[in-house]
Amino acid sequence: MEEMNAEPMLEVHDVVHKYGPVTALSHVSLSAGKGEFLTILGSSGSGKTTMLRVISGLEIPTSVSRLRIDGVNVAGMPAAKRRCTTVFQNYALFPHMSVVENVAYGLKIRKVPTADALKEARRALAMVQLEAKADRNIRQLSGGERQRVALARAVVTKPAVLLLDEPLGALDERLREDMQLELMELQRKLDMTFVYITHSQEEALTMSDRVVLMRDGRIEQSGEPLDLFDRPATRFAADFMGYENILDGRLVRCEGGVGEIELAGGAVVRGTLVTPDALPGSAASIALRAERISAVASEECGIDGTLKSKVYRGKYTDMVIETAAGPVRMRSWHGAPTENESVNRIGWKVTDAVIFADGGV
Amino acid sequence: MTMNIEMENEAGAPEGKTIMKRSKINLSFSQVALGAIALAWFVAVIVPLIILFVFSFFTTEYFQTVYTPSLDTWTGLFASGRFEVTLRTLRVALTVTMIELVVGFPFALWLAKSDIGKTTRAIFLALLTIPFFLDLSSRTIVWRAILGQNGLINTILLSTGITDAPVEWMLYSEFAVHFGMIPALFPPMVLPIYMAISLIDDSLIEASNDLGATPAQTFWRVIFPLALPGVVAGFVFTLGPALAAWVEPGMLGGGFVNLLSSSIESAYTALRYPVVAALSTFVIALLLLLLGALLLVLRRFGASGLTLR
Repeated sequence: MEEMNAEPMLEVHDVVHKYGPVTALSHVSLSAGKGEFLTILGSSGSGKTTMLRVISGLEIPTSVSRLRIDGVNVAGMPAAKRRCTTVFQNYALFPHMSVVENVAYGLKIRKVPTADALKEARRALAMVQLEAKADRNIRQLSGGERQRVALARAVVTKPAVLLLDEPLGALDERLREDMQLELMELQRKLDMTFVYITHSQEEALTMSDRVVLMRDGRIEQSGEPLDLFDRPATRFAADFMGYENILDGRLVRCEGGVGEIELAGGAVVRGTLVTPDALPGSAASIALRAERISAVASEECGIDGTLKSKVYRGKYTDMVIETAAGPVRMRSWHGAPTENESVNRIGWKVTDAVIFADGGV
Repeated sequence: MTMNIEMENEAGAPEGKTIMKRSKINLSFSQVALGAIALAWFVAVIVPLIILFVFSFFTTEYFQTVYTPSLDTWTGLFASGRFEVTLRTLRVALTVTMIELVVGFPFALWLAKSDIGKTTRAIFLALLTIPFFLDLSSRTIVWRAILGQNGLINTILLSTGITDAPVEWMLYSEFAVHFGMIPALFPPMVLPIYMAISLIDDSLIEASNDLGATPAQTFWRVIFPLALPGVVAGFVFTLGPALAAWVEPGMLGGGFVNLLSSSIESAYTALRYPVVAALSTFVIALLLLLLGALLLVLRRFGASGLTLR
């Protein structure tokens, strides 16, 4: 599906999984290359966690046509035999073992001599800056520290693929940002394939090489973070990626990747067309980020409107502009020229707006 | 104390002070409650034990207790073959406890962690409480009608021609005593282990699996060590009653299986209270000794096999 320099480290093809009458995964395929940071993004119930459990082997899918890790067919293989480990959402650290014993667990299971296992475990702990707490009890650690122990425990056996199930979900904001950077650094250092599950678009954009957006057990869109951020292909993707304004209309013209859409109230506006096969005359929507909208002169392309409300938020000012096509949210950064002037018409760069056909939902 | 000092260091903000005051009151209230419970327990449980222990240093003459301290009761305790009785009691009680553990642990694990439905689990838990509904002697005496010479099983065996003569070892034997004790003592072993296993987070088992452990490795390195508190509790709840059991030996042993409980009972009917006291103290001491041995074994076991230390 994506250009892959070598044999993919992880290959999942056409997996279907049902919990009783509920279909959690419906014909999903994805792959990840060596050293790639792949993020599966989705809200709860999108099937992202089921996907992870299918890869790890903790869940046996209803059907799958191909499931390979590092070239080895693992469909039907028990989780214990697969060369992938999981960092669990609640860390799942063994409470009856010390920090270093937890990390050494996977090595001990593989019959590595105790002294060597402990040495390796300490090295892995050093990698996550926890060497000093190796002999502590798990209960004596903070949330962030537990997270690092879980990470060290999962990578110490050198798996081909590391699966991370919302590992930063339980941490506070500040710690989460630090851990994001640390995770990225660790991933580069180990050159290991990471499959990262999250519901936060910000995390996905910060860390990943590639993002897979899931919805209702299907892949909605996948691509590089910037693709998803700037070129969402559906209303759902645009909404999920934080587009504040999605206006409905009808496609009137398209040429060279630029579309023209007629909004309710008759205004015709332009944006980048992300569904190239859309026909003029069909229903389409335009998505706009609040901070990419600015006040323009009356002869420029845009839409007329009047300022309805204005909220000063310190770093920026949020405004709502009432237009014929509905209210439009606009954000202007502190010090920007639009901040204090009156707004009669708003506009945007063609590359900052996306137009997609309204296929179904 | 340390708490107070920490609180006062917090720059003495007015809110900080109220919290400090409140926590002080809470602390003293919980201390009072704790003290009251400890006192009640002491009066209701510990004091009788002490009196029992003191009684064992008295003697009996002409069915009268002589309140003069002496060691006569203790020195005479193991006369007339009571050593043999002690060994038999230990053997029977430990055999029953071990059978309960070996059968009960897998059952508890299955009940707690297999994917049986909620209803099935509730039904099995309800079934486990049935033994508590009915008096032990009524439950036990039924077996006479089943295991006896003219009992149900022998009738079936004879009428179908499997045997020519009635099977006699089934009743009034050590077999019958074991047989009677096992169902009675199954719930006290299973329930604490079930509770302990239920408390183990499923994700720990998954993590062990995910890190490469076989089911056996997961069992010995994760499930069993985490279930140990339940095992110890089950051991105490089973071994204690097994050491003191008198209904099953009396009804199903038919006088052929002499355990410490029968000694206590006969001493009691003979009004020899100091002997009763000494024997009871002895049984308690045995239980504590066995429990101590178990804990030692587990600690040794835990040191070598379960973790790396």
